[in-house]
Amino acid sequence: MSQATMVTSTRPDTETGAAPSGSRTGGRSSFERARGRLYVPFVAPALGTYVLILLAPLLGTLWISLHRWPGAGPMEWVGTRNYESLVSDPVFASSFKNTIILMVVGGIATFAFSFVLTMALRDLAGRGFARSIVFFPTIVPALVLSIVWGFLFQADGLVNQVLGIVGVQDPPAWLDRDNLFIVIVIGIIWTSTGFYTTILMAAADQIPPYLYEEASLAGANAWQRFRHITLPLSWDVVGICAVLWTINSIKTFEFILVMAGSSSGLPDINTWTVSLYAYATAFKSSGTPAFGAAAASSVVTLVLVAVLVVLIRRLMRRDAVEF
Amino acid sequence: MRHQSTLMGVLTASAIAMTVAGCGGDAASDDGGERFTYWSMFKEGEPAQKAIAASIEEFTDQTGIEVDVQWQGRDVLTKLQPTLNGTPAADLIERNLGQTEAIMVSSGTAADMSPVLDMEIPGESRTVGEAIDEKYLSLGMSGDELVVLPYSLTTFGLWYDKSRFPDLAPEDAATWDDFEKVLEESRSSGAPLALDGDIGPYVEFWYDSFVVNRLGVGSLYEAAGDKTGETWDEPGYLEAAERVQSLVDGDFFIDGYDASKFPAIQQKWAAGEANFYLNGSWLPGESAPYAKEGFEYASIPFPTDGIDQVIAPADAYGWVMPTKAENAEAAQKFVAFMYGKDQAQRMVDETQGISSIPEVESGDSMRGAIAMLEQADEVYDPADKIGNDYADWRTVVYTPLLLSLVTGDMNAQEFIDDLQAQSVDYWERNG
Repeated sequence: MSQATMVTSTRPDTETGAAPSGSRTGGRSSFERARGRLYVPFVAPALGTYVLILLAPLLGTLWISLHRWPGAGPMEWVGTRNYESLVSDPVFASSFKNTIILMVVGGIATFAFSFVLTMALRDLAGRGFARSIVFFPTIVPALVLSIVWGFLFQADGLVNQVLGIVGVQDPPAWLDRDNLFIVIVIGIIWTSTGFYTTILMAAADQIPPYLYEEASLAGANAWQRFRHITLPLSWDVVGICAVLWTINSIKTFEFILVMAGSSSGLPDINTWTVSLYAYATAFKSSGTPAFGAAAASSVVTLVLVAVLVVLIRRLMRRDAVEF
Repeated sequence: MRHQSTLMGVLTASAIAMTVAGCGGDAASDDGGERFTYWSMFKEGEPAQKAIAASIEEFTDQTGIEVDVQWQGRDVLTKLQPTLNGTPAADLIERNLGQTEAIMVSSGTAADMSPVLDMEIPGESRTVGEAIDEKYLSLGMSGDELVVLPYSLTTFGLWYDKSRFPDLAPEDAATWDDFEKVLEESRSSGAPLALDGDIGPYVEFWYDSFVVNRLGVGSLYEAAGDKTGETWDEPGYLEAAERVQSLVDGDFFIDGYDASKFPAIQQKWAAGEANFYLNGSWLPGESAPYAKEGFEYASIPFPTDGIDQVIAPADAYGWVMPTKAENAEAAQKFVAFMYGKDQAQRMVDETQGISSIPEVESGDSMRGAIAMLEQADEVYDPADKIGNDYADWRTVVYTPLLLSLVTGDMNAQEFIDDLQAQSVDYWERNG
């Protein structure tokens, strides 16, 4: 606090170029020298925290990924063997495929629903309330959602009861092994849509209403208003949302664990994503934990996130539209 | 400015020092007496926690030894694991052999508990080793070392409502063929069998039981660890799979068993919609809150299917100590105290479980389970130890294929063929 006060009180001198007499030495003002001295004390705590909390664990993970290690006791150096095992492991391949399905199919559906809701709620009376309702699934713990979801999709759950009433004689077994991942993806879309709708609505609220009025006068329909006004003017926010979705979908874990797993076991491997693969490798319900292999899959996941985020940022880079 | 920075530095350092002091533990109690740290696998409010908490109070009153207890829950070992290399955060925990072998034995941090066997139980003229039924000690052995001192037992059996089948006796289901007749006859009063098909261990236990009751204890373990896969060619493994397939083809399992979320099917069984449920001895405690009125819990052993030995699946939860425990002596005194009849009886009364001490009386619902354990020539790990030594193979190869068999996605022959092929492939990659 006191340091900040001092910097503020010194600034007028430097801004006007009128340094206190006798304060310049070797081309640097006393303020610049003082600022130079303060640089390390100011940056060090943040840098230290960053190194300690983020970089050190990351380097630790890299180091562990080159070993066989049960989480305690001595580590056995295995070089890149954990990575080689990952490449040839069919379970990792299916987990990777599920992750991509969730990211692409789930992403397209989530954003489609979010855009539709954004447009539908834009002119709605009481939209603040509607927005809260839409956001609600995001704040409900995944455990609760999974119980509700299970209740809905049981063999004789609410969904199949309704289907029976409307005449469907042989309703799908939603929670069987073949359909469970699809139901999980639908659940994740449902819980995520409110979150992205809220962000997109906040961006759409910044767009001046007269643009929509003019477009309506010119005869533009809802799709055209969205295509030519909402989308370009909220493009930056859409880009951020795309990055957030990519990261979240790759990290998706909790919902699958509670939806398909149990206190006595892991979910069926048909439902695993790369995050769940890493968890299952490290925290098995039985057997010796394989922290090295889990760390290797985490490193691969991290690289995947980094590559995809860079790609998305590049793909979505456009000149900002000013309004 | 410099003074202020110094002041802030001093304040920060003081704050950190105070925080560290606040977080740190001290092995000696304030009055200099003995104390130890105990992390329990139970959570506050659970019946077992209430029993142990009462015992701790009595122990401290009698011995003056303070117990720093923390109710950590079932993942107690996962929480303890990071501290095992240095000074362990706890001197005593309780867990079963599978978890202890996986996390502590594998890292050389599990202490040998056998010295406790020679300790005298306070107030009783016998040692801990004399109190425990010797048969159950094998459930805590890892190689030649006793790493889990058995305290409570769980077992698997076929559970049913005695009020609906009052005349059923274990002899009526001595062999699988006998029991199949019982199942057929029971169709008039509901689905013959319940199964929560989303719980891997419950699904596995059907095939595991058929294999060990046909080929003997250790047969599943042998096949699982065979890197050539040739053991699976022995006819008994296919025949066991055919038993499972016949249950699927014969519609013995309740509708929806393959597409429900636990505990939906268990609830249906407790409501009387299904007749028999292959499950653990924790079932009465777990399902009692939603069982229909007048439900009388009873169980019979899984029928033999070819072997001439009486076997019983069992798992023991008991006391475990890290090799580097700082206050081992005090912790051992507490363990010996817990084998006192009064303490063990309180535990069983609260949990409706089974004690490793034969004289401790369990409730009526455990009568069948206890008889099964007492009559067994051999008690064995319910998963025939594949959960300990071949856990990864079990997770990625065995369980998924069994789910396919039990849900009717593949027949017995396809199951064995795929199991053999995938096992060979797995061991090539992971051997």
